[in-house]
Amino acid sequence: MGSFTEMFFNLQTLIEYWPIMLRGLGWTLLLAVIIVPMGLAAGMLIATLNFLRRRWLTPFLIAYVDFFRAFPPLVLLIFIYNGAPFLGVTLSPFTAVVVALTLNSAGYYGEILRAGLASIGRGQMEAARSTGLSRLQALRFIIAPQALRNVLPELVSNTLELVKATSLASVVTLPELLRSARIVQGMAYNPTPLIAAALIYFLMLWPLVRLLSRLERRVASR
Amino acid sequence: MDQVLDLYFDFDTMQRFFPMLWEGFVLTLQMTLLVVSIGIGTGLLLALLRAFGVRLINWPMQFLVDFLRAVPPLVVIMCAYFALPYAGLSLSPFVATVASLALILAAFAEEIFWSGITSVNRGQWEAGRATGLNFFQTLVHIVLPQGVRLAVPLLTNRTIEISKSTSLGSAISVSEILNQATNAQSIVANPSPLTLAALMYVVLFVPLVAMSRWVERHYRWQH
Amino acid sequence: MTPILSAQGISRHFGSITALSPSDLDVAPGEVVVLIGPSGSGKSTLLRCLNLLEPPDSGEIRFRDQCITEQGVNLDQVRRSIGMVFQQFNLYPHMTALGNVTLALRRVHRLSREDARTRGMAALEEVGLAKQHDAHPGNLSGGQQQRVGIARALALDPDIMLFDEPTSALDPELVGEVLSVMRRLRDRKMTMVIVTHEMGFARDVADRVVFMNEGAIIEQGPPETLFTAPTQPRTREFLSRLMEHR
Repeated sequence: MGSFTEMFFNLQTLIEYWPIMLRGLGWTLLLAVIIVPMGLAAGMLIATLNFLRRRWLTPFLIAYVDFFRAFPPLVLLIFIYNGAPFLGVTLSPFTAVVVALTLNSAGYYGEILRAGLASIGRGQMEAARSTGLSRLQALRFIIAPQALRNVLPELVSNTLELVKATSLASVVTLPELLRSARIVQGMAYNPTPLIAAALIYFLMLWPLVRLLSRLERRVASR
Repeated sequence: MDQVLDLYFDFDTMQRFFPMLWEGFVLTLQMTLLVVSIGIGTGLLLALLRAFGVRLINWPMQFLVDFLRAVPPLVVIMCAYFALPYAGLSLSPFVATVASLALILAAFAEEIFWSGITSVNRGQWEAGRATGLNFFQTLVHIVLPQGVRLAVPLLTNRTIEISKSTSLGSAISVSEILNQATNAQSIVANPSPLTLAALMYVVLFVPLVAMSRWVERHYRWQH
Repeated sequence: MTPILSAQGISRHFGSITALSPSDLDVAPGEVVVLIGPSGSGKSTLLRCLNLLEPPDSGEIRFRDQCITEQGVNLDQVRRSIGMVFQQFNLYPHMTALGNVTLALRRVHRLSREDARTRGMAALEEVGLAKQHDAHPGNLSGGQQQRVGIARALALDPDIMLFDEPTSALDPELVGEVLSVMRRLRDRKMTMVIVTHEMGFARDVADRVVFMNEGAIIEQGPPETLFTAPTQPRTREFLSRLMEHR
């Protein structure tokens, strides 16, 4: 048992290398803080465009959403990161990650919000219009607030997945939490840093997972 | 514009590397089938087990499920591949990836099945028990079919997501589509293999996504 | 005559709320007992205690010659002989009408597919729904769904049937079809305990009416006595308030 602890929870290693791990966590948080709002904003745009029912637009929006639901984000990231230099543009790993995950999550957020808006009965729009509100005003003040409440679990779930997806950045050498752990593992010759990274992710995202379970159960019992 | 097309859609290169990527495609397909069948099967079993309400089992199960839902799949794969050998368990990249993803899918599927089961109306339990069915019969014949039906849309989406994660295997050099493509790309210094890989993923997953849309619309009760 | 079902001093609490104070109820073979009273008076709780869907906190229930509140009684076996019809029907939405009726025949009585089908169809015939045997509950009207619910209980050939407000969830024009099925059951001498708000029906079919209030049995007797000359003030109050609403 002692040697097991020494191997997998080696405090010595953690004490020695914690600055590297901490910097990694910093990058992870930075990515999350930038990408989540950008993806959400782009998703809102998609859902709003869809809501306005411009007939020529709808197929493109559906194609966009379905394409990114079918396309693994890591493939997208590699495509952007390895592919861009051939166009004469060299992207930093950071930019590549932000672009890839924003494009990807915009599709998901867009689809969730679209479904949310579609879940609100036509009567709400009719009532709002009958009191003189414009379509956009009705969307903003009447439809959207109800829609958001309806799809809150899906939004939380997608945000959780997005934060987890920042770990893909490690593949393009961005030293976020996972990559930092791998680096330290290489220096210390034991798996403690990897285990520590897993635990940090767990502690960071567990509250979100619990919240999600509760929200999903509340929806299910409606 | 023509130049861009030539670069990214260089058909000669694509043709040259097609056999190599095809191997990757077959491997991706194998991984997907394994992950989906093991993951969903295990998830269903766990959900059934949970229905018995034995705290000594449910408590650790819930913890493990939460853990697998909170930790990024790539981290789980890395732990399985790089950390387990220190415990004397060396997995091949293929096994490490498939096992990790199947475990993660099982965790999600357990939650989804369980919330399906618990959202079946209490009256269904009562009706079953009132006609003399025992707990297990009521669970299997009455509650589970309805719970599974409620779970299907969520489950399809999650299954697609985790199947897409087979691409993460490339990070520990499983020679699936993405890995083959990046290797090819570095050999010829041309991005066309990546385009081909992208097309392969689209061919593999767009039908699934379309199916999930259909499932979402049609897998409801006829009220 | 010895009662077929006899509850002595059964009570039921939910947390600090007393849903049912210790109560006695005997049901003779072939008797139709109707429980009436305001909502929240404990009638449904009493009914659901009788087949132990709600296990009583105290007291004893005897069914035929067996005490069914003892430890170690096989309740699944007991419940085969006690039919139950629910307010919300509780039909299985993923099965056809016939599937609903035959499930327990197949899984509990272990009948072959054909035998279960024959008995199931007979039960559906009895409630006038043989034609709809292939329909899913979602495609049936409320009244039809409740008749399937009755057929489901009937198919098991129970010694007694419990009805928990069988018409409360129905549109008024659909109540009649369900009540007439129940009248036919009475004519067949089926033993029944019925919780209902349909007073006219209670007066017609009941051998005995039991009035409950605040979790206790206040008064009971034949319908002609209880409805026309109740002895308890609370019974009078309840009945007169009902008349006002007519």
